[in-house]
Amino acid sequence: MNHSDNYFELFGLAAGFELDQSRLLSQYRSLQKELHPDRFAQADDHQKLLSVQNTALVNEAYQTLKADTSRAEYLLLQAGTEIPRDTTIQDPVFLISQMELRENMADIADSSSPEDQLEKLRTEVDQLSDDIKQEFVQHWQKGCEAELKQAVLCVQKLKFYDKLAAELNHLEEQLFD
Amino acid sequence: MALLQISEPGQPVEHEHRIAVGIDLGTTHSLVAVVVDGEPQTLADAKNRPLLPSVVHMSENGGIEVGYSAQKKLTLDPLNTIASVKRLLGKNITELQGQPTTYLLSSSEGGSPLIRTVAGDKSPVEISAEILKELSTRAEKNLGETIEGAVITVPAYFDDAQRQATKDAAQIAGIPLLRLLNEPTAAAVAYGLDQGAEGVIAVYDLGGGTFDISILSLEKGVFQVLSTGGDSSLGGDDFDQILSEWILQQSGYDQPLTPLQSRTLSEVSRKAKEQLSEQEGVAIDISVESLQWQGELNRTQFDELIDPLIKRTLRATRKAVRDAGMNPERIQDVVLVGGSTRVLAVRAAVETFFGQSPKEGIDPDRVVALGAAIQADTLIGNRSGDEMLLLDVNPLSLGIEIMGGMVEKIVPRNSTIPINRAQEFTTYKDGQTAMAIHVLQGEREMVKDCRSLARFELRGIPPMTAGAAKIQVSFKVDADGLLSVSAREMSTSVESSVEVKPSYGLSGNEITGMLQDSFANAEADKHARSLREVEVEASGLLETLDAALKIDGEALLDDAEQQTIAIAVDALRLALKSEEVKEVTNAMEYLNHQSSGFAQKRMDHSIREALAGHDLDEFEKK
Repeated sequence: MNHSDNYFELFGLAAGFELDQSRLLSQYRSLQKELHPDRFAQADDHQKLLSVQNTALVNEAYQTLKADTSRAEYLLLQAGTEIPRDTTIQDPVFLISQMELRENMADIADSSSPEDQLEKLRTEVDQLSDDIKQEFVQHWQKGCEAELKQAVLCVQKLKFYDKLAAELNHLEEQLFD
Repeated sequence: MALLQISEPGQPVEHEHRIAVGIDLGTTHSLVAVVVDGEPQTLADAKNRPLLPSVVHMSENGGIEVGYSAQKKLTLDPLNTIASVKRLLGKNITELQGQPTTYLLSSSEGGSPLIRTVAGDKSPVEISAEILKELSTRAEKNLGETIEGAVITVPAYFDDAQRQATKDAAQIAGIPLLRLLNEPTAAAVAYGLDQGAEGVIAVYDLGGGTFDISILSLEKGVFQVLSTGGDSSLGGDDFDQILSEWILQQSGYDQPLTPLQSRTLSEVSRKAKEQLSEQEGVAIDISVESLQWQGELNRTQFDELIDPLIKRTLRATRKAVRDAGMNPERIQDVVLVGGSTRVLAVRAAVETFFGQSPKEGIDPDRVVALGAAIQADTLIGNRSGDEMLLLDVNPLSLGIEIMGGMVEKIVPRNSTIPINRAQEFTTYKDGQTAMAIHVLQGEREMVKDCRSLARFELRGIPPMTAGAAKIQVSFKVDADGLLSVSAREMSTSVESSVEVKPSYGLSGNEITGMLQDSFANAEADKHARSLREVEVEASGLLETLDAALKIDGEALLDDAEQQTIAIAVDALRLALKSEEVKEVTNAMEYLNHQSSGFAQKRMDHSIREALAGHDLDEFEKK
């Protein structure tokens, strides 16, 4: 398959952060219907191998494009910019806001109505995360080196929010079982 | 072969109908089903019973009984009558310590538990193979034909070791395995096709020994698993166990139980549990050796006893619903699977959780086998793959050990399979020339809380300063959910790889030994059978290649390429006349090799086709 270098092309979609999820899903399923190993159960080993490789690629591409953060990261990768794995965010305003959010999260368990507090915090995190996504799009669209650096920062921030959202889910499981 | 069929407009290649069965290898019961005239049906024994109790009796003279006759010996000969062997499958002996078991266990060289019987030490894999053999014999008797393939179901929450063990059991039983299929997915297929359901459904599957919850999206024949969760050691057996403990407590009996007492107690508990689904209270009367007790148990008491177990299933359910990005209100239908969903408290809890009553329809004991039969029929090529596609996920995250006893996840849980993932790691010491790779499965952060699947070493890394080497570790999970891992040093391409075989399971040698045992008596028909198998495969290959060439040969191949394939086709036709397995397989391999370029071209072509022409109907349907 020659589409491995561009996930958007693989699904016949225009590259961009905004994405028609239902179209992504239907294209994904069309491809799977052609390529899935279940279609090759009676094939020889070489074809089985091809099918597994191609399906795995389609799965990987689908997962990458489906989630906002990984899609943003992929767009940057396409633009030749990689997200450094171990660098920390230096932006003091962002770090303080993160600390506050985490303090709020720690207070939920002892509050009078944990369920409401949790929902409130979740909405707040979603909102903040959405703002960063908007910001990402603006930087990414401009495309010059300085702007892409800002876009990288956005992706790093998104990862913080994703992590927080996951921890909120975890907390919910602990609280309400 | 199927690849060569893909572009044919709706018309599957005509070929002979082949027999493939679906097998539900359950903790308490097993079933076999097949599709006849497009309809899946379970196959019954001579007395018209579809269920086969998953009980195996071994006798001194080597005789083996499986099913109802073995079940009768549960209390007569407890040490040589093995029930619920699925709970031991793929487990390490150390994991089983402290768990109540009737049998005498020892350990194989690989750490798999062995059950001591009068017929010798038997591994759970061998016992499971006996059940599979019984089912395949039943199917062949019923249908009067050789089984050419089988889909065997496993709990969705089975880990890599348990899946591998199931696969090994099929191999020992001599059953050509088409695919391992997750039980809830199989149930969804049977249910979805039967009811024509569309939308998001939840399958709550509580069997004898395992619990699974899967959330699936059903749309136009695509069954996409969104998330799955569960507990591979929680089921009806645990209800019985809790009840047994309660009875013991009530009786005040404090001596260690003999095998006979323990078996009898389980049986009494199981019967009481079953009766409580029909009536408000039961009288319990147990009298075995020095253990004597009479008393009563009402449904409210029983519900209280099992409540912690039901809560555990709901916890897993809540998590699966969240992992699917759903909430309980958005689930359209709830399907109950497994005998333990007959317990009224279970039904009530599920109903409350989802805010709707579960769907009645297909028998919860048979629905998994029926779904497996449909999948088997598709995979063997009897029905067009256009009708149905299953997209399943891996139930548990996969990763490797990093510094500090932590686990770095490489493939997260609920990733659609098959999947390939690679990640780079580096050395932490100057001049380090080897790296130990420890493969783990599970959700927790620490190595000690996850399940160890395999360890291997990448050697021959050129000495460099710490952090300079680039070691790429690749994980591949296939369509059966089985993992293989390889590692490679990127600057020199030193490679080391391992097919993950659970480090506590049976070694390759042990499996080979069992295979030899199982074939010892069947050497004579072995050749005939393999010849028949390769002949079928070869004629299938010729048929589909021929059809594919007619459609795309001119368009995609030049004269020389067509000529090359034609020569290989003639060679295979000639080899078929020799009636020698080796000749035929060699010729098939050669033809496959010569036509692989054609296959790749067709696949690329079909991707373009899949993408083009879809725009219109996708948009119209939205």
